[in-house]
Amino acid sequence: MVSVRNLNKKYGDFSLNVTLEIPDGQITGLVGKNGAGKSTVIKSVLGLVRPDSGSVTVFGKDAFELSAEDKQKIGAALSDSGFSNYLTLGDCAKILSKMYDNFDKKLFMESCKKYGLPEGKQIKNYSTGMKAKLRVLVALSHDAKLLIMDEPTAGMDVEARNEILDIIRGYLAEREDCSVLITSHIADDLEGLCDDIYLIHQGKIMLHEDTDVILSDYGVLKADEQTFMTLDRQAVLCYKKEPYGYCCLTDQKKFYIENYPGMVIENCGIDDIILLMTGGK
Amino acid sequence: MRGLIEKDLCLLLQRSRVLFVMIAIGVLLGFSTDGSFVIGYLTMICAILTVGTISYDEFDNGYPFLMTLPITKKTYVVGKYLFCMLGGLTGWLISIIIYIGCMLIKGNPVSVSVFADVFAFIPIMMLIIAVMLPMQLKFGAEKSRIVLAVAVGGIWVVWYLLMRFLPDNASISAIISGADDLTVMMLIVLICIGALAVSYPISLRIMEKKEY
Repeated sequence: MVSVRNLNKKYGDFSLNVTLEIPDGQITGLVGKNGAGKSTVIKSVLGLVRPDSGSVTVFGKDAFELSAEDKQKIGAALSDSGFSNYLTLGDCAKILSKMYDNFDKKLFMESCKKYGLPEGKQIKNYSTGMKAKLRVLVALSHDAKLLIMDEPTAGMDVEARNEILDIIRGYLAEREDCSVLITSHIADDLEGLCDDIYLIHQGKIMLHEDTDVILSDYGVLKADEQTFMTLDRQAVLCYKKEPYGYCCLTDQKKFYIENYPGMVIENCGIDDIILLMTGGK
Repeated sequence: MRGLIEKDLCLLLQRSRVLFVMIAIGVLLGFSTDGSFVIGYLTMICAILTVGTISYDEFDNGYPFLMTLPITKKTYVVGKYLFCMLGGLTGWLISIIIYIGCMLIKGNPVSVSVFADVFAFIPIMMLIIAVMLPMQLKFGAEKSRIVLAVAVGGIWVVWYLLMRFLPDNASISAIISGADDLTVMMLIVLICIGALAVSYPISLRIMEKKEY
């Protein structure tokens, strides 16, 4: 559904070089630190920025040349952009009903009411969490086949984050053919949602792996200096110096559990991967 | 397109107080002046207010989201021209009603000759839209004001220098003052249509080159 091939984009000293693929019905997460290039990838897929070189295709078409009909099938929630703050929820519903062929106004208004979004208030008077919920509900309001979400949970407390993730999960549960590209710097949000994860750092993809594989096969080895020196590092992806010795990331946790019974080996989350792969050697 | 017009209408209605104040001033002008000044005033105010919806679009980084909606950049530009023209024409119609109403209440006869002036405001409104829209799209709400002021100043300086130093400026003045009303009117209409014909592709090019 989405294909990004050798996407190059330069902003001053920052250079993005990304290749990724989102097959039909796949939920893909893009994780990385702030400034890693996540939003630029999202904007390229949405046709908001033109690549310096490489190609970005959505539904088989150049993302920068998408027609209005193509965009009917895309639901987008951006972290820093939405409807004008001077509009009300009622205004948004009126606009969306004229924009999208499949917009379900009744369902949209019911969902907004369910999540506590007041109809008559201007958006500028909404809290951060309410604005984020509105952006997500708008993206899910017109039966989109492709969801593009940039940091939908950024800046929110745990409760609001879970609510937003539940909204997305509920939508996807009813639509198995829907593809999703979602970014976050809070990796926990994506572990329970995504089929596969791309890790981006300084504009480059450092890792692409299925979420299940990360959770089952990846591990964090905590080795003292002596153990580290004798450690078989063929399956160590990267390591980082710590006060107690070395913290190593592996994608073959079982091998080390079997061969180094005395070493501390912990399960690995996406946050660990981000920390080690972007801060280690 | 309908969604864009609806959005602009919703944004314009956010300034309904400003609109009411402007209409109230229009009514006062209608009573206090005998000429068609009120028509020009309200037509231009409405055109400027509708062009101002661009500043709402760009405010708070609104463009990226707007461009994810099922519209193309071309639809956006066409929608803006259409909305501004409709806004200007609505202001023009309201001002005519105010003008005629005031004349009737004051017991003054509504002169047919005024209607020749009345139609002159439409090409002027078109000219304002043709100049302001690409400027707002290119420079944004704040910078475009400065650019507009500099441009108007520049045009005045060029005009002054032409009149001052061209050897046959007397003949230019004679041609202008000697032309009949219909010729001047036709010239204004042609200039304004020409300005729109130049303005639209410029606006489209500005939008197509933009990245968010």
